[in-house]
Amino acid sequence: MKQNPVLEVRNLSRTFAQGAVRAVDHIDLDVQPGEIISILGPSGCGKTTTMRIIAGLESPTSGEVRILGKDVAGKPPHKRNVGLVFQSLAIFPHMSVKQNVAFGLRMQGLDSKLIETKVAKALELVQLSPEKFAERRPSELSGGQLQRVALARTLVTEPALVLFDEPMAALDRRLRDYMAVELRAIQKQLGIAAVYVTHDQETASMMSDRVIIMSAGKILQAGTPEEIYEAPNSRFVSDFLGDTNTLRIARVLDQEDGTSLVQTDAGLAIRVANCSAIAEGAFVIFRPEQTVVHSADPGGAFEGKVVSSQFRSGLYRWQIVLPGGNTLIAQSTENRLASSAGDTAWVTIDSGKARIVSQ
Amino acid sequence: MTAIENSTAPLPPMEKDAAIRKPPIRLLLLPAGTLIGLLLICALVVLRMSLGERNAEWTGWSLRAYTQLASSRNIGIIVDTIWMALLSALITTLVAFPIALFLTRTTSAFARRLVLIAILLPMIISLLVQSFGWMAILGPNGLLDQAISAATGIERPFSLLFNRTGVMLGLVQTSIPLAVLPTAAALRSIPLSLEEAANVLGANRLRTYRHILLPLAWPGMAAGAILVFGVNTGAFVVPLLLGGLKVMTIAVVIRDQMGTFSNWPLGAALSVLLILLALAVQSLNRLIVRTNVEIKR
Ligand SMILES: Nc1ncnc2c1ncn2[C@@H]1O[C@H](COP(=O)(O)OP(=O)(O)OP(=O)(O)O)[C@@H](O)[C@H]1O
Ligand SMILES: [Mg+2]
Repeated sequence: MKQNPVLEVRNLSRTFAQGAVRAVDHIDLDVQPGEIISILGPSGCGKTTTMRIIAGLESPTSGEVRILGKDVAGKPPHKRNVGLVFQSLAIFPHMSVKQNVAFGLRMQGLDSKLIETKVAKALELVQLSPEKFAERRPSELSGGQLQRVALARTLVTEPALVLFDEPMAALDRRLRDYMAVELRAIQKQLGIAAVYVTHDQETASMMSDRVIIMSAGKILQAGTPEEIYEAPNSRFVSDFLGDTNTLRIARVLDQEDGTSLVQTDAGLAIRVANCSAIAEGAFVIFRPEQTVVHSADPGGAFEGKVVSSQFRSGLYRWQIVLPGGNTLIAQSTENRLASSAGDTAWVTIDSGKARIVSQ
Repeated sequence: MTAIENSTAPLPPMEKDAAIRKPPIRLLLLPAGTLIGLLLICALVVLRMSLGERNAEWTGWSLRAYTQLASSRNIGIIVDTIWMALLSALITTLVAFPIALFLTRTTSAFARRLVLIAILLPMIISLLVQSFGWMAILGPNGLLDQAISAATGIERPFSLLFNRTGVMLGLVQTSIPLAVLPTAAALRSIPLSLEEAANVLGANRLRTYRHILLPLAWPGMAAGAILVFGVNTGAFVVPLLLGGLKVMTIAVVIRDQMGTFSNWPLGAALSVLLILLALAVQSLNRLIVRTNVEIKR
């Protein structure tokens, strides 16, 4: 039997400044029980606003939010059974770690014995030993530890849905990755439904079952991290998820059996598999790792000049200018070119992976 | 004032800059320093006079002024003064909280400016004028009397002038800015997200005040209360005009002793008492500021 979604957002909009700013623009999303989804988008695309509306801190201009099947319009935050971990963490500075974590339970009116055990359990869950940290003041904690307190404080109240608004933005990359993996494990362990907001695609891919890409208040694409990475539906989404080679299509040279031969406006002929109709002004996009560079002409490759090359975390990268003026980014795990800037290189594109998008 | 200092407490260290700027800053302190020095000398003069003889304040030595100070009448007035200052500090702080909250939370710049001006008026307008204003309202045949007798038909059912209630009204009204400003400064330093976090964690409006806003604003409120208490222990104009010599305070007695009765040593002894009170209050303030800094760190 299929359970009801924990969260249903329908046609939700929110405008500011008398409609001049469309912070959230007709979005729909669902979160199933036990599922964690990420909302991914650039700064100012409406992620925080969406979270705040779901939590009840902001009211929508139009649209509907349902939690566990019930419309929550007009319900104040403290009656929504939703947890929110803030972008700023919002740890209460005048309370100890224990008091911070106990706050929600105290508001629920639980007796102090029960609160005590629940707080200790929650602190252990986020790997802060209660003996060591319970009595500490927030000012005596590191960024990562504060982050854990914020997490424990929200999880301990066992909300139906937990919203994370970039709580790890302030942490450095390593710690963020570590926390993301850990948060994911905790979320699966507790089986809670969660929405994770971030503008960092790696964090999003690492920890979510599904990713939603937002831009300027709208949802551009939704799907599993793999789906979206492999099959972005626009240049924006592709770019947002990683470096992308984008070439404008000037005309379609040949088309048969779902494979097209297109010519870019710089005059390159590229074969693209799995595409049907190609609209006017479409683009062909492919990722750096979907190209192969060669130091000698393998036949049917584009010849170009290496502009620069880099080595970064086990990957080699080259910027190659083609005769028509297009610059391609190529990437490989092997150092396939013993060349430096100014040398000639040949590039082939994996036609099975290249995609055509209309915008 | 103290609360404003607190909110800017964690300034980044600027050692290099400080080294460059040190000499001019010291020079700039000179005028204020001179004035403070003079004040210190005045305090010493007062101390000396309090230990002098009547009509021989500079040459004689005596503790008589202090025995006079301990007379039951004077003790009564001292206790009274402190009590009224305490009560006015309490009431003013309570009245100031919602005003300060409005000032920090309203989104309308116009409303904020309007309220701020209204709050600051007592600091701009002379105490004398404010007290005469209260007299015009509370006095016999004043606005309040006229309004009440028009409404009820009873002539002067009660009087608020020349008694403690009138003085208290005046003390509270004239010290509202002293309480509002530090409270507002403290409230301003509380991020809205803390309230929202409490709200999402299940606290309604009232509990958010009780568990988040009040404890965090408390140092500012205490600083304001202490300021009001300190200023009102030395209250002179308000009790003189609104108390009409029926409500005596230390400052009023000092003027009587030094002026009317030419008893300079007693006046000076009472002044020493006021100075000690001010110092005590100041050290209390220090204590609270310290705990506040600990919280904010
Ligand atoms: N109270 C407000 N008044 C006016 N405009 C607002 C308000 N809150 C948000 N906005 C606008 O709405 C848009 C979306 O803001 P939001 O905070 O939701 O972005 P975000 O996706 O969370 O960005 P970031 O990644 O920087 O946190 C922005 O253009 C912002 O300026
Ligand atoms: Mg945001």
